[in-house]
Amino acid sequence: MFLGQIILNSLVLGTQVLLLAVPLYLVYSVSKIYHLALGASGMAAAYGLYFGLSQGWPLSLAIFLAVLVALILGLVSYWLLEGAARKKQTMLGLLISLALGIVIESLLSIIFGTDSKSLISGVLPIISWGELYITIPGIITIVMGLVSAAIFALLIKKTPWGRNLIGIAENDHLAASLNINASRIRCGVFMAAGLLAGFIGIMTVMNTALAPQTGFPLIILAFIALLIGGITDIRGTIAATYLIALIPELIINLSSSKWSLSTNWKMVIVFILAALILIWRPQGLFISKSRID
Amino acid sequence: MGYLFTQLARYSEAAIMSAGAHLAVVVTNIFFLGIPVMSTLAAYALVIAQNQGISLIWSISIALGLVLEASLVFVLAYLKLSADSFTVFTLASVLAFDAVLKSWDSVTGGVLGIAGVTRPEFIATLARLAWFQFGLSLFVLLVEYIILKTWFGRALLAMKENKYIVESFGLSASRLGAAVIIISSFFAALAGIVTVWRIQFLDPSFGGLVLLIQVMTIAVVAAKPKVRWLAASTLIIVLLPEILRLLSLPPTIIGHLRNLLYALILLVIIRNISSNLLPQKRFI
Repeated sequence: MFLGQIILNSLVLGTQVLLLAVPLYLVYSVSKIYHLALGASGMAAAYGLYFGLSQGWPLSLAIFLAVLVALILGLVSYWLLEGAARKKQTMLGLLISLALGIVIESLLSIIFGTDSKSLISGVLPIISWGELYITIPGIITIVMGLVSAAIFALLIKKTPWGRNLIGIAENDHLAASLNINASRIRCGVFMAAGLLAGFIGIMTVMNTALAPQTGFPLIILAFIALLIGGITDIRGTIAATYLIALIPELIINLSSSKWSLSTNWKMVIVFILAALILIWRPQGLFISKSRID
Repeated sequence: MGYLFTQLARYSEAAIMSAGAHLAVVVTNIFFLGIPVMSTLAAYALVIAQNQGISLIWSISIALGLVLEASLVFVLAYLKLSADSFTVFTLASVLAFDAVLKSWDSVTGGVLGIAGVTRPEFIATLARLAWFQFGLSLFVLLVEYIILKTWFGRALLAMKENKYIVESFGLSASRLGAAVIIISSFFAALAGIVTVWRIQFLDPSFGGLVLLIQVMTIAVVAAKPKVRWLAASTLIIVLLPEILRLLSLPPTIIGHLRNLLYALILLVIIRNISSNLLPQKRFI
């Protein structure tokens, strides 16, 4: 049962990371840029919801504010990164997204402070089976995460829309000659990514606490999952997110009392895991090596 | 006078740290973001060694030796990963190292850190320390100047342009990149050591993303692969947040405002001078 609880917790955490890895993958698919500001965007949407609720607004209005924040940040990200995506300046795009993430985090810290806040007061509603328990937000996270990951995996692999996405990043001039408006599609992807990030930001802080600096480690975990799973295959990303959620949980919870590790070591374990896997298979666990033409 | 010496010291520390970032990012186009890790690692290694009663020279040697070993790990990652994957990997190392510092209480003191760091006798006062740091920064800038003027610097600039052409001339792009990472790490280690001598206190907030943003902003604002541009950029970026002191702002938000300022400068500069940071690509 103890092992069962570890697996359940890993499932929730892994799905949180997966829900951030999916928009990261989407943005990478259309622009070849790692959008590191997604974590901070998610937190900003969560703060939008928190602000609405703390002002006594109805839940629907607070959610509308959160959605608006997510969409605006998606548009801002598109405006900042579109130039770099068009000119294939992926490194500069990465730096721009990092700076944007810092801007968002700093603004949130200035406006709301750095102390942890809660979206839900009191104890979280839980569902239990024997000795296993899971929170309601955790269940919503798992269901939404798996459903959205499956939908996006199917969309990207099996539909013309998905092929357009990948084609735009490879050669947007050719895409334009096929009457595909790359800029418009990228704009849509950035806004959808912002919305997804906003959703996961809200789900994450329902399970933990709301703080401006929560988003950044989450996006780094999502990136590591993308890297381990293989950047070009979303199925690998899905598998890798649960791997990097489960292994640190097992190591920390099953460590003996002599060498007990706190949860602070999670990021270290993930980093070491990523380093070992990438030294062994730099292309990712689920991708075969191929020649670059 | 104390304020002026402190600013001189801060300028020198930033110049030493940013020399490495400038060499990696602007000269060679290797976005090595693990510089704060190297700086913090050297600082902690020095302080822990000194606290164990090890002499100053040996403590510095241990610190630089550890940084060299850590830089080899990054070199391995550089050789294995693509450019942007390596960049985010080094960024992840900043978070991972921060987690190590906070978790390994018995060695690093955890979130409380290590207080009472002693300075060497010959730089016991702030004035002497500031001049020593300034001299060291001039030395580091001179080293970078010499690097840029030699075949090595020209090879690095050529790598930024097209590393396959560099390889066709018989130079190993991998070795050049590895050398840049090691040199950058070494400069960051020097900066970390002299900084901890100034502040005489060490905790996990010593390096981290805050330092990374400052260093990257200085390197990017410098834009051109010229040492005088780096020196000028360091002066601007280090002194600019001092304007915030003139405003009557609560101390709790000054740090966040500084980060905001650096990140905004980075955004504006990258969007407006990106063609100087990366060579023009011809489309045929």
